[in-house]
Amino acid sequence: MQKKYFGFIVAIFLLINNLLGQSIDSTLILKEVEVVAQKEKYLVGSKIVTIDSSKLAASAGETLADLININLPIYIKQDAGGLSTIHFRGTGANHTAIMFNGININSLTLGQTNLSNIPAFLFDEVKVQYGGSSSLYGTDAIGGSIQLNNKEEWNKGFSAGIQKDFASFHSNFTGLKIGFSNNKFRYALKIFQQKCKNDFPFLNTAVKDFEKDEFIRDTTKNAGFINTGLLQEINYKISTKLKSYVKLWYENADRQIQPNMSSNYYGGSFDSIEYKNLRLVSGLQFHSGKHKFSSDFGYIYDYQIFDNDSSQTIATKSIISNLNYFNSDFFKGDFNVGVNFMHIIPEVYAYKENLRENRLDLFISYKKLIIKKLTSSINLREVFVSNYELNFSPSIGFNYLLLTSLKHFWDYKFSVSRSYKTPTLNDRFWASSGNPDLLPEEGINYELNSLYKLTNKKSKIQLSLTGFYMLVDNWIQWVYVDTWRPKNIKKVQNKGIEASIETGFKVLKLQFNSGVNYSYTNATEIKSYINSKTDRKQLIYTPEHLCKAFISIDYKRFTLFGSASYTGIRYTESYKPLEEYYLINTSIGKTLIYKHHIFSINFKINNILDKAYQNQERYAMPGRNFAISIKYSINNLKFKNNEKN
Amino acid sequence: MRKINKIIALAIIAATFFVSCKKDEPTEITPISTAKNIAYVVNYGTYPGLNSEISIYDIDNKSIVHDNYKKANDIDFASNIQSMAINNDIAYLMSNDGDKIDIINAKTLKASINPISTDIVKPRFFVANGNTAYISCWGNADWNLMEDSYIAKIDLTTKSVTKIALPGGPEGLAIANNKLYAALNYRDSIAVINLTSDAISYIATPAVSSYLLKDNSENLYVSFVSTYSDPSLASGIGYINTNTDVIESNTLLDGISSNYGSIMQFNSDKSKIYIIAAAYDANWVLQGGVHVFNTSTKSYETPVVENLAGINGVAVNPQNNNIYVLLAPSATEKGTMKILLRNKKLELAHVR
Repeated sequence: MQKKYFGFIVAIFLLINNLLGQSIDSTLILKEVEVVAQKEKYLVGSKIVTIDSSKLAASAGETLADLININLPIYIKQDAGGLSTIHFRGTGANHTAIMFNGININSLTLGQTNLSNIPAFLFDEVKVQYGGSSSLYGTDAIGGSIQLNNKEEWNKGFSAGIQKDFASFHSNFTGLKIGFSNNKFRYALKIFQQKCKNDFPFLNTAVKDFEKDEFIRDTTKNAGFINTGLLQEINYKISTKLKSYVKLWYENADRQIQPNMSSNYYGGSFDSIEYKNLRLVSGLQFHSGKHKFSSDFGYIYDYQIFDNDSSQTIATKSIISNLNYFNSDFFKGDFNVGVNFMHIIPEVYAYKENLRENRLDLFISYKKLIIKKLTSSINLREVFVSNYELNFSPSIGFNYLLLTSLKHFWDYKFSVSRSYKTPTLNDRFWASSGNPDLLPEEGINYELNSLYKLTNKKSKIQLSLTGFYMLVDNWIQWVYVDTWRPKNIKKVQNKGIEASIETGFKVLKLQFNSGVNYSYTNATEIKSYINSKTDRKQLIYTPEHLCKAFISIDYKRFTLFGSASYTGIRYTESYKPLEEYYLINTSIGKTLIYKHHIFSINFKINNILDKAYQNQERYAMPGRNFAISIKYSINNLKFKNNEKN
Repeated sequence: MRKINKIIALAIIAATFFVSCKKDEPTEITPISTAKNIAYVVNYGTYPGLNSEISIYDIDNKSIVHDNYKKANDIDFASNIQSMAINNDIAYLMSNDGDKIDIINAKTLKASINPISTDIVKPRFFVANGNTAYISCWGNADWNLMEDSYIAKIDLTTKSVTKIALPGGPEGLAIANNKLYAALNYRDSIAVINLTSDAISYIATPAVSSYLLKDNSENLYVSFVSTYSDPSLASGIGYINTNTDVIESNTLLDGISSNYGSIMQFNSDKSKIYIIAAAYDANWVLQGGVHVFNTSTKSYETPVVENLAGINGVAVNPQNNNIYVLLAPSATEKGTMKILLRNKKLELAHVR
């Protein structure tokens, strides 16, 4: 019934557009084909926030978790160094799709990504998309999605850079970048290593010296990590219309699992986990006039081992292929149709032998300027999973440009989307516990957003307000019965608002930039499938209030930066309130530029007030800590046939 | 003045997970300062290290007070209590994550000395012989062969710990006939340890075992269980003659609880053993009852209560033989404690 309903909408949509005979929006015509970026334009009505290269460069020695913690009012559940998971709008850790070059890199066994394993150093841009988007990105995108992007820059000559960070608790980061591009060929290589012993001191409020009647002064044990990796890109323009690329991203992370505060002092389970992840993608892109074709082939290998026990290896291999066709003038709109195929080969000790799975996604997207100032898009996706249920996820969005001029920009966005998550391989196939009949998690998301910008010569201001409402059904959680088993346990309602204000202005020679981001989330269980009743309380580890603020002052390439974050009360598994906390960070840096050479040094103090806080109950977090970052790069160096600039 | 011997000594251990604490029950009173007859209810809590606590049930007033460890010591317990034992007015709490043995006043639950944690890894069960305590410890558990498990032998005066290596995952302990008996939960045998030489011998068993009860003849009843890692059709109550170290009988009973906690207990004159037997239904809800084993006839009588959802623990009030039953209907709902009175009426005692 749903498919017929949406098919009807598509038909009416096309009919209206033909009758009105509107002209093509000029922004729909693109000179370059970048498949991943193009996909995003079909999410008309969705809220997308970009963390640009300058913010990424400032956080280059840190991780995606750190980046989001500083910049966005999205809750990251984490401990002091091991595991960080993102929770958009009160959704779960595996309700966010993490996309690299159009491929979802979430673990197929666990269904989530450890954001501590994604270094900011490797990427030029991170796009954070709020709300359901399975119609575009497939499974997992119930709460939102994150796009990890690298920009293609051509004819830039040779560039290289090195970065070295030293920080508290025996932490250091080393990064190396090498790149070359001319008009036809582009090569980029980034290599990094991040090490941290993480032996920070803290007041252990879970342990008392009863003889002295005081809490113990303790030092974190078993929370260290080492993460090494590289990202290599090769792009080649075969002709003016045909382009090829190969990207390889490899990481090896060895993380000790931080014990809780009581175990830290008295002893308990001190474990570790090692990850190896390989993402290899290659493809061709062809464009001719309004037609664009792209094909991508990928190989993903994820490996995980617990406590160096080779008898308990968890690994998956995936072979992926994508085909896309774009038409920028299809009934005066922008059209995309395509297919994704994935063949999965699990190598998990707890699965039956020779288990295989195939997934096929068929999708259509269409974007069009319906009437003056009103743009709409519709996305349809049908997913086939071998030996499992089908999933259909449509979405529709609208963007109305209320006001646009040299100074002002004001628009309204509205979108409705259905999303889903295919139960993970562990959920369905873990020995004796897995349930192949688990229902997929399903979401429906409504959101309304308004964005206003005022720009003049010396100042700018941007205001954004979003309201959202979501329902997530058949939520899967592992519960203990005779042993741990996955079950569809509940239906959840998430609603709230998100507001942000950003300003920039110049006073004398000082450039000020500042911003505040706030979110209110009410996420409650409205139906239970395992208990006789539900009490509609806020979900555990879901703060109602989150706020992030920053200010930066630039003067002659000196930068003073300050940020503050507030995380509201969260409730633990036993529904005990976990104290709210705020953190303040600051940094000061200087950049020197001489011809092609750029040298910068930055000194940072995190948690200036040495606040003792817990993100998770009884897991210590670091107090005041310091970091110094030194970077050197040489850019745009051209030789031989290219003039030396 | 309350006497310790009027407290139901083995606190009923609830091996429940995700048991939430509700402090606004209408019948709760604080504090229990004059109660003469009480029962300790020990909650394991949520692994790792959350929500483990001790409730005190006032038997005469039929009221309960929660979170008594925190009230006494002004700090959350912060580990998972595996078991509690009372010896000479001192309560010993064996807990995991952090691994330690807390030593607290059995009347006030107040700690005045620090826990024993050196050489203590995953402690399980406690018995004492004079000034020496023996604690079963699982060590660095592999949940398979349990090669690293051991018995911690502790001098209760100096608190020094000596390890007696005992692979196989020792769980319940008993001292009988000058020997220490350890029920091995990961091997089909019971270890017998000479209290003088610490030498170990073994009694082969038809299934893995969990807990031991000593009768008035210094012989032992043992629960044989079928576990997730060691399934067996030979679950039942065995009887060990500690003079010969021979299992003289195993009276089969399907579904004897493999939970860790209070799964079986004597009545006041040891003529009966009350034991939990349960099985999971199609919806993975544990359904079972309290069965009665006649120690004279070595046979089962009619169960005192059946068809209880989430049955988790059982204990007997030695004063009046009322049977206390702990129920956890699901992994996320609150648990309840019910009391089966002598007239066989099952009365709801409390919800936690």
